[in-house]
Amino acid sequence: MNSDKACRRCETEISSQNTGGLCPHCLMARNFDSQTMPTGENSSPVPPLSPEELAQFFPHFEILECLGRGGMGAVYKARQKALDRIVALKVLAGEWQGDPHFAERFEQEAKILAQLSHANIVTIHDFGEAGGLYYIVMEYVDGVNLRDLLRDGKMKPEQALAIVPPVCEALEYAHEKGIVHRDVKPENLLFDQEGRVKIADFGIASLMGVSGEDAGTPLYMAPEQERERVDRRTDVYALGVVFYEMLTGERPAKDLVSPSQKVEVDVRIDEMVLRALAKEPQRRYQTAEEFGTVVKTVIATRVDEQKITEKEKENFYSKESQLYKITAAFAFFFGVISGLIPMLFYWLRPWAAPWLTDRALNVLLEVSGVAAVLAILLGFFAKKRLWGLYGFVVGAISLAIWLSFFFAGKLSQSVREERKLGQNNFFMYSKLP
Amino acid sequence: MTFVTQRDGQPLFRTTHWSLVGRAVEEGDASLETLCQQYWQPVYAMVRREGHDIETAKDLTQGFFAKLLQNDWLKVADQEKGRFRTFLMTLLRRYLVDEWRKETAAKRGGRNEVLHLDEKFINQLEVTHLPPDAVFDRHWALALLETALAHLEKETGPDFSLLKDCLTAQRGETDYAELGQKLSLQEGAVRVAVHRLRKRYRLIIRQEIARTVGKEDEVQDEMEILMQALS
Repeated sequence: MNSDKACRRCETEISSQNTGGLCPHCLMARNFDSQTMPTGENSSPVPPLSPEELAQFFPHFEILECLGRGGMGAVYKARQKALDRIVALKVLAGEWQGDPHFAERFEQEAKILAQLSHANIVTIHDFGEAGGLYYIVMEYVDGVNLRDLLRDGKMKPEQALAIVPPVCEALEYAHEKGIVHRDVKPENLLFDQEGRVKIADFGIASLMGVSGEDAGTPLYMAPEQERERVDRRTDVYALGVVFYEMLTGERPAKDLVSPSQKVEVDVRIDEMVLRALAKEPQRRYQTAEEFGTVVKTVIATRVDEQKITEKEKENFYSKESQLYKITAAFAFFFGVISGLIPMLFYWLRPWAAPWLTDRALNVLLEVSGVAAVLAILLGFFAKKRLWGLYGFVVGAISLAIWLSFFFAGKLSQSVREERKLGQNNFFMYSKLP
Repeated sequence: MTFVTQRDGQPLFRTTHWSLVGRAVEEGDASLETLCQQYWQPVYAMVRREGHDIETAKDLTQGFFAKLLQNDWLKVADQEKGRFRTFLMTLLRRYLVDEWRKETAAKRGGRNEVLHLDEKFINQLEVTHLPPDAVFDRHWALALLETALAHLEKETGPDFSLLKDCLTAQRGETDYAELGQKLSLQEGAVRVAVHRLRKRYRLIIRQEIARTVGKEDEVQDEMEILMQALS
C-alpha cells in the first residue's frame, strides 16, 4: 500500500496511484448513501413494469429506462419513434381501477392540462390509454429535481429566492386557467441543464381524482387540503414549504420556527415565508403572482442595498474622501490645542508670559477642555485614519488631565484664591475681573 | 442475459464477467484479457505479500494469467458457486502452491507476456503485514474504483478533473459558485452536473460489481466486503 497522506474526512490512508487522488474509502462509502424517499412519500406498492414489459403496450415508443416512480405512477424515458424525440412517458398507477367514470374524467382533465403552455411548466404532448394502461406523454427534462439538489443541504438565500419567481409565474399562469397543481413539492420542480426550473405533474392529482390525504404529499399540504377545499392558495402554501426547506434545509415543524432563527436571512424573508405558510388561506398571499412579486421586490432591494452600502463604505473610507480627511485633521488639531498650548502657557507663564492675565489663562484652559472633547468626538468619527486616531488619543489624555486639574482645584491660582475667599462658584474664572 | 431494473433505471446485469467467462470458454474470447488486465493488481499484490521479490512476482503474475487464459480452469468456473473475486483468489492460492512445488524443477521466465503490468504500480507497491486475503481484497477494491473512475472520466470529458472532488465531498463542502466560474457554468447548472456525476458514479460501481458476482442480491454484500477491505 502506498500511503502519502491521510484522508481528511475519514482519516484512512489515500493511495496515490489509484483513484485519482480521491480517498478510496470515501469513494466506496459514497455508494452506501441512502437514496430513500422523503418521509411522507411512499413508493407504489406495485413494482413498475420493466421497460421490456412496457414496450409491448407502446409500439410507437422505444422505452429506454424507468426514471422513477411515485404514488401516482411510474415515469419512463422513451424515444418517440415517429418524431425521433426523447419524451417522458408517465404510466398511471392502478388506483383508478374500479372507477367507472375514470376514462371520461381522465380525458377531460388531460385535455385541459394539455392546454398549458409555459416555459416553466413541463409540456404535455399526448395522453391516452393502451392495453388498459392510462398514460401521459410529456416533455423530457434532462436534469435533476429540487429534491436531488437539496440532498446537498440548504441553499443560499439568493438561490432560494431566485427559484421562487419563475415558479410563481408558472403557477399563476395555470391558476388563471383554473388549474391548481395540488402537489407542489421539490420532487416536482425540475431543473434542466441550464438550471431553468420547470414544474412537473401539473394537476395530475386532480386528474387522478384522488382527494384528501391521497392527493398531494402530506408535508407540503395546506391544512385546508385535508378538508378538500383546494384553490390557488393551496399551491401558495406548498410553495411556501418548499421555500422554507430551501432556506433552512428542513421542512417546517408543527410549531413554525421562522427561518431567521435557523439561518441568517433578513426579516423580510421571514415575513414572506410565514405569510405563505399561514394556516388560514385568507391570511396567505392570495395569488401566486402576489407571492412572486414580493419575492422579486426583495431580490431587487437586496441587490440595491448591497450595492448602496458597499458604495457608501467605499466612498466613506476611500482616500479621496475629503470630509474624512478634514475630520481627521481637525481631530488632531484639537487634540494638540487641548493638550499642548494651555499647559504650556500655564507652566511657562511665570517665566515666559507674565503678561497673561488670570482671566486669559482660564479662558485658555476652558478652550483646552472644549478642544479635548472635540478631538475625542471627531477622532472617533475618523478613527480609520491615523491622524484621526492620534486626535482621539491625545484628546482623551488631555480631557483626563483637565478633569483631574479641575476637580483637584488646581485650575489656576486665582481659583484657589477665590476659594479662600469663600466663593464657591463652579465656573469661578467668570468672576475674575 | 438477466434484466433487472434498478432504481436508477438501468439494467445491472447486462453482461456479467461471469457470463463473459462462460463465453471465453466457448469461443476463446479475447475480452477475457480485458478482465484480467483490469484485475491483475490484486493478484500481483498478493503474490508479493506471499514473499516473492518483484521479478518473481511479475513472472508468477504473468504465469498465472497465462494459465488462466489457456487452461481448463475456466471450465470449472461456476457462476452459481460464488464470486469471481473469491474464485480468482482460490485459483491463485492453488497456483502458488503448485509453482512452489515445482519451483526448482521448472524454469520460469521466457514466458509470453499475456498482460501489460504497469511498472508504476509495481514499483510503488509496498508490501504490508496485512493478511494476503486482505491485501488481495484491498487491491481488488482499488482496481474496481480505478476502473469506475476511468470509465466516468471518459464519459464526462475534460471537466472531470474539476468535478471529481465532488464525488467524495460531503454536504456543504462544495463551493458551487466557485466551481461554476472555473467551468464557466451557472451555479444551478453545476449543481445539476455534480448530481448527475454522482448518480452515474454509483451506477457504474454497481454495474462493475454486478459483473463479478453470481447473483443480483450479492451486489450489496460484495460492496460491503470491499468497503471493509478499504477501511
